[in-house]
Amino acid sequence: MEDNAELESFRRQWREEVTRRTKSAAATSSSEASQSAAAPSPAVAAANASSKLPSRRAAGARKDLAGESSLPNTVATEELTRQIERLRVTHEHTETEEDVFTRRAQEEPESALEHFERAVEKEAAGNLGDSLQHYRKAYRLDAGVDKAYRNKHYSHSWKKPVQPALDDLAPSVKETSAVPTEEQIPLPTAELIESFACLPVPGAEPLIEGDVPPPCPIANIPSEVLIEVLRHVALMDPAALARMSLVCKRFAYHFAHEQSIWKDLCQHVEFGLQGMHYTFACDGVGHPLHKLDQVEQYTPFPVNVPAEIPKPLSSWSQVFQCYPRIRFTGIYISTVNYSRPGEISSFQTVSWNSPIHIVTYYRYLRFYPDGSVVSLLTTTEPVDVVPYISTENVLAARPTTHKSYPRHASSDQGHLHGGSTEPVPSVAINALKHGLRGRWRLASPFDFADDPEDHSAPPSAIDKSPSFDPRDVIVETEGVDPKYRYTMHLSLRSSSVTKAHPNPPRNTKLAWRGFWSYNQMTDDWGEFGLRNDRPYVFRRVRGWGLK
Amino acid sequence: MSSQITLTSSDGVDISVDRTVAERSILIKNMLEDLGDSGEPIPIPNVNEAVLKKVIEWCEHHKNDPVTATDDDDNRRKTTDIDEWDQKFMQVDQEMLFEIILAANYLDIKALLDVGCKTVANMIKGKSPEEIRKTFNIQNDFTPEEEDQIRRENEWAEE
Amino acid sequence: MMNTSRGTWLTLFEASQTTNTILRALPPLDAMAPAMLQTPHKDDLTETWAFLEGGIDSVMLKLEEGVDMKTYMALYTAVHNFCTSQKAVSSYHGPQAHRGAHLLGEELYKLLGEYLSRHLQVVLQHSKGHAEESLLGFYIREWTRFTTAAKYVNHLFSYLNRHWVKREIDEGKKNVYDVYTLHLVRWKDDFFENVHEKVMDAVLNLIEKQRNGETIEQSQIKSIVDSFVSLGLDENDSKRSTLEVCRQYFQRPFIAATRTYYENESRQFVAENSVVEYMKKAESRLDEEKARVGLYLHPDVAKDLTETCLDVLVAAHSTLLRDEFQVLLDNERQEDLARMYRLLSRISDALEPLRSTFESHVKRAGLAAVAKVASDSQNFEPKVYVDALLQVHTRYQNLVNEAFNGDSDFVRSLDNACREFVNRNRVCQESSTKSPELLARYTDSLLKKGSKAAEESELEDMLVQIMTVFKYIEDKDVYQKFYSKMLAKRLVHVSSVSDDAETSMISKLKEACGFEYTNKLQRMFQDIQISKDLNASYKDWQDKVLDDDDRKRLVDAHYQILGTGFWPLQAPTSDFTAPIEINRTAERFSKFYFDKHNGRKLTWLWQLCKGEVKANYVKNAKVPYTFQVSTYQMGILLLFNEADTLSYTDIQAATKLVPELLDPNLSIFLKARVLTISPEGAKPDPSATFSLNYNFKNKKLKVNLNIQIKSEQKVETDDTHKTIEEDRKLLLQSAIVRIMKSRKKMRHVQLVNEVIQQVKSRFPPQVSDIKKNIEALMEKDYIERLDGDEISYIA
Repeated sequence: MEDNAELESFRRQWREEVTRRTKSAAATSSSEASQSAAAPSPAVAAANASSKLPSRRAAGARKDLAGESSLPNTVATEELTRQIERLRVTHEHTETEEDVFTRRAQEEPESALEHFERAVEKEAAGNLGDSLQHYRKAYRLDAGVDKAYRNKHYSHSWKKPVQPALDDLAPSVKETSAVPTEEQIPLPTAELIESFACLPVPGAEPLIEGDVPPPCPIANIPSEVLIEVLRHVALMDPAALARMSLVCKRFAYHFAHEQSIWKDLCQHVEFGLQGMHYTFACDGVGHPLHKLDQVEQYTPFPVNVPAEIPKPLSSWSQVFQCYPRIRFTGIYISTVNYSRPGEISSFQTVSWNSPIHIVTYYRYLRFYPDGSVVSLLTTTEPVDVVPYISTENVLAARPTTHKSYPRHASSDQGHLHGGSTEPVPSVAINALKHGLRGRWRLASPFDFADDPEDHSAPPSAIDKSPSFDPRDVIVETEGVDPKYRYTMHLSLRSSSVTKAHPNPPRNTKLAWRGFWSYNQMTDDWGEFGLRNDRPYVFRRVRGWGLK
Repeated sequence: MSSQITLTSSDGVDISVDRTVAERSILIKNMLEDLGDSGEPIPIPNVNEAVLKKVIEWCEHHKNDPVTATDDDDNRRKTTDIDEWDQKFMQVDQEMLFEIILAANYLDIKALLDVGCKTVANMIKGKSPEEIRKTFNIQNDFTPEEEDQIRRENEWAEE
Repeated sequence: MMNTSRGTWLTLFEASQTTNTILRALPPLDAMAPAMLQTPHKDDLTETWAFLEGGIDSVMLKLEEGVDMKTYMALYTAVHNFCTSQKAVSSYHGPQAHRGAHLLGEELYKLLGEYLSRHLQVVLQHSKGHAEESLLGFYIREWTRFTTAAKYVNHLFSYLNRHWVKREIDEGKKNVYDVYTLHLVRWKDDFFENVHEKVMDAVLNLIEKQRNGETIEQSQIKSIVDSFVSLGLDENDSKRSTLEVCRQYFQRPFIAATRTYYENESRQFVAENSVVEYMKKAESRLDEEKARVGLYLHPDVAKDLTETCLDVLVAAHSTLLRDEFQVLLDNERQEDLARMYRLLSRISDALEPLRSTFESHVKRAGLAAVAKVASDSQNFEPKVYVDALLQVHTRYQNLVNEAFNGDSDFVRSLDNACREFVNRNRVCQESSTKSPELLARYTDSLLKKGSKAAEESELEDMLVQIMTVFKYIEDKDVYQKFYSKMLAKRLVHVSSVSDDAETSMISKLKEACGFEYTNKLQRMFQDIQISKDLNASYKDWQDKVLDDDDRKRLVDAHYQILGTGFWPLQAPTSDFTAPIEINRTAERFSKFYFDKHNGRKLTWLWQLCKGEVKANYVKNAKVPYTFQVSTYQMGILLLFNEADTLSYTDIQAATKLVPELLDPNLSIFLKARVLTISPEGAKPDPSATFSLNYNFKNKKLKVNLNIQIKSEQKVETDDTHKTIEEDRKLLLQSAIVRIMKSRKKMRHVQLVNEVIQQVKSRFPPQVSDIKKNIEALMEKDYIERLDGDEISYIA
């Protein structure tokens, strides 16, 4: 009884809280935006980096907002619109991120606490039936769920507030702190890591108690040398550094705090932004361009210029996380399922069950640091083909141009290799025959500044996406027929944030923005429909992109 | 200049070496510049005979290497490779490996320090956290909750 | 270095013993030596620092006694061990015993900084016992000692530099420097800031002594400058240096002192010496200061120093200098003029007044020269006139080149002045066309046979000089008119000195005025050439066509066909019946010519024809006399083949010559005593009769009777002027029509301006003339006046 009364009061409090929040959220977009503005995003960063080139969309947004705003134009309009524009970009980013959107709509509560939270939410929305169901489930799972809820949402009222030092945190920490997901955190992550600062590398215990502990010479080296080791690890494979951070507290501390390593990574060619191309570095089939004028290519953080962390980011690890970056250490896969009615036999006019075919096909993209790319559309499953996808194998799998002497896949096997000396299975060869060579680049801040005659982008593409989005990727490949070329407009997206994955890798998805074919004979653009196409998702492939 | 100088290890052993070889160590180079070669043995208080000999061996082999620019940042960026001789040279027990690293750091021999750190990095790169701990005899000082928290925190970097 | 500083160093050391209250009590060095061999406990800051301090002391205070290797290595190792220690017991880090992930070194860095400050306090105390040159010596000694020690300490602390300092700088920490730079920063803040004024006073005193002619120890100043330069540290990048310290603490007071010094000196000097002397002084001072920079100052100061000196030495006295300019010009002091130019050209806007003075001076000189020519004689030769012009030009052109460095602005002033006195001088008072006329006559006199310029190269030089004057002539059309008249005569009379000289002159004119200007002159040349060929083919034709009879009576003749449009020649002003012999010849040629060129018209220019007749009648002449005569004269003389005596009316009837031509020619015959008149002593008039003088006598066998008649020459000149006026009218009208045709509509003022632009290369048109011609064209309905000020073209 007493518990119920307490629960009721909490519920009432929560209802008030919810209505207050939704009201304020509806009232002005800016207050909501200001919340999300604290969360740095690549869009903001890049918009800042290219602030002298306001995109068309940004300009449009500015106009819209200026129209909505009832503020007198005379009051420092310039400054105001700039602020709004910045907020707006951030706002759009978080709101239009489809992953975030789908997560909210579809994610079903699992734990008791989640059910309890959903119940409170439904209750606040007035949907009492659903609310009741969730309450029931919550209490069935955990009788003390209300306490957990209280601890989570109202602890600040009686606990000393522990505000994480935001600047030292990875950006997601701030996001997750806005959308509470953790149940019981003794210390915020940043503070936890901070507490590791003065710890030694602990030596292992002796195998037999009382014995001499085994030697741990790595514990004897000073920080400055240890950091050098970590730096080398990071430059060999950044993922290895992440694993290293789980070895002991001292390493975890360096992982979070050794900005010079992250800065080196950002400026690194193999894994960092130095390896990104913002203009095509290859011709249409991936051969390196030999440019007569060695013009300095654009790169966000040139090595020989003092680099600064772009606002609003506050650390180099955030830059490394957030800046649009193509990975070379694996494959991007887009899996598409669709169904179509199967054939009905002509002599059987009535049938009980008309067959339905479920078709699954895959699009693969493998990017190379030299600016070339291999694109493959096939029904062959990843496990059968991915390890063999490479420029060399695509070329080797092709039938020779002499049509009268078609070469069998089996005869090609000797030339094909899957990274080692083992022969390429014929199933892979058959798939690789359809591989297309091409080139890639990231959107450049200069894309819309000059050369409107540039034929690298179809006119319709420009019409559709007139704005500069630093996450955009342009891939051009051969066509199936030599007279065609394909142009894909993709855009980097991040995996959705979940409770289990509050800090997933960023920019590992490639969402579609458009797909065109270009007829080189007639100078015509044709657009492919993308009804079934799903985003590409990155998967690491062992041995790729590493020395 | 191929005059010989003498180094005295921390355990009191005199080792004779070409001045050019010894000057791979910036510490020794600076000292000879400052004080001149008086002919008396140079004490190396932090390095014992075994390690000092190993370091000298390395310097001998690399005495004709171009002296790298003052800032080695570019070099470091350029390559993560270790040449064959150095790989063989570094095939020593772990205690010796770290002794060499410490000595290189002390004597200010950047290239040797780099080789040492790269060797350690190579021992780390393909391994899981537990394998790393095993390799270096490191105790896991996380609580399971802490480990989980850090894993989630750093997950972004695992790709 | 070490040796030279030893003696004085010892004094300092003794002195510092006496001020030991500020210093820490130092253990004697001997006592310390054995302790050095054992490095301190690496985790103990106090112990480590105590050890290091002893070592730094010996580097800082008694480096010349040497540091042994053991000590050196021990010190380096102590720093290394402290920075790499895993546990550091330090007052800075409180209870946290393990240093963990932090880089160590901050404590050492701070203690080192504090140590340096204390050391510099002592140095500062000692500096108070020095002044002037002794202070400079002290400063340099201490600076040398300090920076030498800094190099050592920097090496000893290199582990700190490599890691802790590097990290701090990489992370953008301000006020952290590498150890060497830390020394400089401390020197600047703790010592330099307190002594720089006194030091600079001493430096400036030294420099003043040198300026006053005393010998000083320049190397001292150089050392001070070097030290100041070294102290310029870039706050943002410790690896780079700036000149800020040098600029602020050295250059600023130095420049100020320089200004004062030269203000005083120049004021006094000007008061006591001539301007010319002052200029010499200023120039040598400027050179001196320039040399000073090279001797012991930083090159960065050069610009400021030069500007200051120029300001004080030149700009401040520029009025004085300028006032002297006219005097120097009058006295032709080329060297001093050059000096003045050199000085004033280095400051801005100082030359303009000189240029205008120069311009009017040249103009006056030109006018005076012409006036002298005009007053020396009424009828001066063209050569005298042209030479006078040239002389003035040459003199001042030399001056511009020699003294004014060929300065293009002075060249312009010279041109302006020359244009003035060439076109508007005393000779030109009646008419501005006098200059071109005289120049053309002078040209003719050079190009005509018998000119005094014998050498071809000499002639060429003179033609070049003519072009110099020609360049300044405004009425270039006048020159053209006279020139073509005289050229025509030279060609017709075959009296050119050489074809080469003629073509050379024409090509010069072409170069100066363009193709159009010389077009006709060139056509005249062509006609002469064509005529030569024509005569040759005429001879061939004659050989074929003539019978023996004709051949006997053949007159040996040469013909020139001159195109009407190109030659400035008029048809004869009088009728004339040519003698039968001539007439026959002429008709035969005409026949030949018309055969060749059907439809052309030939007009015989009798007044220009000439020939020779043999006087077979003269008694007492073994060889018959030959008379060179004009065709008119021939016509008269040949009449006497038929009769010894003829009346005036007979002659006039036979020749049909008008009295204006007949009378003067008869007079020539009378004067030469070829004819006699009756009544004797009479003037030729219709009542007189003329007889052939059989007793003719002359010293020469060839007698030239073809003398130009005075009145003809005068008429000719007047005609030329008249045709010039006519031509100008045509030129103006055609320009107006041309402009209006292309523009259709135009405002009056605009039109006038445009016309001036188009014709000014030929002559300077009068606005009133242009207006008159516009009116004339309106009357002829080429153009019409619209409302307001506009004029429109009528198609």
